[in-house]
Amino acid sequence: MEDRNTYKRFNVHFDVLTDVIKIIIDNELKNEITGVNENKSFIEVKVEYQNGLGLHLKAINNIESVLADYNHYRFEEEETDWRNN
Amino acid sequence: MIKTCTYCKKAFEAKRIDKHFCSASCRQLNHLQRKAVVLFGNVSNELENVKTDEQNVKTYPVKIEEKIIEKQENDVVNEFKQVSSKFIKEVISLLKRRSIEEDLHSFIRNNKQHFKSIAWVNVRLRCLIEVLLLVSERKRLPLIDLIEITNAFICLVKSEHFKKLPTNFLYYNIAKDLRDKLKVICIENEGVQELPLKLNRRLKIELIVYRCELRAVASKIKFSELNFKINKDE
Repeated sequence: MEDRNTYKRFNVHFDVLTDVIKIIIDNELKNEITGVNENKSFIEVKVEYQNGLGLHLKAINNIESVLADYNHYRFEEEETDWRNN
Repeated sequence: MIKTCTYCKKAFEAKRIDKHFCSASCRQLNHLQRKAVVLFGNVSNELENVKTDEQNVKTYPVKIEEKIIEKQENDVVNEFKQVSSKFIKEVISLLKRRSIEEDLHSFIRNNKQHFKSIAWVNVRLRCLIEVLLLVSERKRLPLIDLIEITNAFICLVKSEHFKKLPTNFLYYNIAKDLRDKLKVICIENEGVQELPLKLNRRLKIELIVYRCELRAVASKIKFSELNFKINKDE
């Protein structure tokens, strides 16, 4: 059988971390923390999912929508240096 | 070669590699014991293990199948539950509760004589709120940076433009409160090199909301490009 597992990486801000973790746990998605950015308060999470499984795809969409909503309200564009933001 | 008798566990000299018993009687007794196991279920530890393994071999695939069926049934019963972020909900809820975008525009329309001052303050306040949000997410902030930001708030509130604002200006008290809070933090941390500037959840949500509101009426300008000092020419 064809292996249809794939993965996505997400930058998850601490403000929405519990929400994203809830989605990951509820839907039994394999995950791994691959990075932490202490100066931007986010962690990078690698989430593995089955491409053909509806439940997994919905969960991935859910994570993406939570992050997109958060970014919409919290950020406008890439900000690094506060003097030049 | 020296081997151990499977039945009596005594060492004996074996002439062949496949010899398991020291004597014919041991072999016979072992045979009888095995027979007794089958008849009475009186198993020795060794045989118990073998039997358990056999059971496992027979039942394991069945268990997996059952699990798969169970999971499929659960998938049907437990449909996907959309998770909404509590943090975002609170931001949206506060934005709706305040719902001041229209008020902001009408405030500017009704105070045309102060238009320049309102615009001057809005742009700087928007920038400073963004700066606060950004630095609060850092692990640590140099005190000198915090002093620079605090001075910017002080200059903003002390400016002629701010003084000209009507007291019902929507961010009048917010700007003053932030200035006072930052001043206290700077004084309390005098002498330290760096400090973490963490906003509590409530304040962070409020700042995000103010920033979103100000987006509608103030353009985004970099902190380094803004002059916060009182400038009579402006």
